[in-house]
Amino acid sequence: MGEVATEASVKMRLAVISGLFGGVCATAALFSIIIIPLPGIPGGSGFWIPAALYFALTLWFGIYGALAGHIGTFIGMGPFFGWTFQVWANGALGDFFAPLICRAFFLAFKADPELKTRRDYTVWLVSVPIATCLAAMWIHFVNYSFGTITFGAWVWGVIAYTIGDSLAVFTLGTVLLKVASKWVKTSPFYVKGRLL
Amino acid sequence: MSRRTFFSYVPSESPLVGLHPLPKVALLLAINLVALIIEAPIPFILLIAFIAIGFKLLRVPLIGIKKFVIVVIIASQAVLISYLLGSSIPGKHVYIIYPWGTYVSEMTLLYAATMIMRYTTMLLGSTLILVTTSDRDIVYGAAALKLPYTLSLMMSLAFRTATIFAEDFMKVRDAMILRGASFHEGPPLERAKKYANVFTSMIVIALRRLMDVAYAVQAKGFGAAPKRTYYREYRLRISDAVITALLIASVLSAYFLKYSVGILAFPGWMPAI
Repeated sequence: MGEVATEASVKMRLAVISGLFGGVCATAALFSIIIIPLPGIPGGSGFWIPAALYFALTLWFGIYGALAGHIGTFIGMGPFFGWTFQVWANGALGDFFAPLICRAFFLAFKADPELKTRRDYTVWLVSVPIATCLAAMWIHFVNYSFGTITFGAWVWGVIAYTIGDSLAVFTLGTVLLKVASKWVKTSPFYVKGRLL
Repeated sequence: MSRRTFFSYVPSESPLVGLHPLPKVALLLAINLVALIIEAPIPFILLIAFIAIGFKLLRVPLIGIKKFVIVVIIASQAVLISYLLGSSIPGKHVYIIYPWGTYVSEMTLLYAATMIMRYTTMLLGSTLILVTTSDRDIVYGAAALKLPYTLSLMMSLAFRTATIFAEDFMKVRDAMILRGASFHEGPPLERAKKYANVFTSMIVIALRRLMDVAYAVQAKGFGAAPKRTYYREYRLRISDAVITALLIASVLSAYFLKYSVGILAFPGWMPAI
């Protein structure tokens, strides 16, 4: 383009990433809840499509991708679970730091989001369950603190969430990373080498 | 005259419409925090009644609440299953003892009902505020609260683009169906892969739109000046400050009443957290 990006314009662009992809994640969240609802859990889904999106987005755009997941989850879950403090503290906050943990793994092991080598795949396969498990522990701890579940349900919730979310991320996220990473890297929005 | 908000149309005469964002945020936080502190059933009944009266007095349409009734019913099932199968709350009468060691007493039922009331309180309270809030309130509210402008831009964009992307999603999916794809047949993994294709297209669409919006935002000079001026001004009045102070006091009072006096604690049993 031959343009000179100022610090302010870069900041605004990154904010646009979070806002716009927050809309994409909210749409994905809405469809996940409608297409594959979890009986007895309003706002829950057996296949959390936005998880795949915000994991890929965070690997491409850093913290701004994670923020998109945070905003998207909160907006998407709201119509089904209410825009309460509990929803913000569990789902939205959990969905914010889970992809950041995955990105930290990618940065630490110098893995590429395009998943070109065996090392890239290994980092991807190891980091996603760890990140989702930590997020699941946090999310169900919040639910437990709010009295919505008991400790027995906490254990099962963490296991189910880790498996469900990891499956969604592996199924959709791997395709997204393989297909779209090359294209995203050519855009002026790609963020390389920074966690935050 | 009515005003369009996220959920519905709210009469302009509603006192909540003209309220400064600071007391609105404070009210949202206060209801949620007080509900988190309380563990006794009767204060919850009073709080729910108080919020219901608030809907009437503040002229907030009840249309926003109706769909949440279903949400409360579904959430209640989850709470009940969790407590009836996985808790050990001591009581005078034990109705069922499970082989895995948990049991159901009359206090289990009371505690589960209290937790449902906690959830209902948070849901109703949040709805009361958000049913009178528009995306403009969020943008100007963040500015009035001296939060970074970029934060309000993010929220505003997310709210506005969610409906656009929902349409994109339907278009891409319909196009795939017209080309022979079926989203209702086949094993779950196969269907998931089809959705992956939809979302790959969505990412490409979103990135193109991202460039358009980013350049438009840049062309309009957003972020160029360190201090922005605004078309509308939200002034903090004395009444707004008093309401905020009262709400903060209500949270502190609830905390004191529970942990020092014990009035708001659950009678006869203290949970681990």
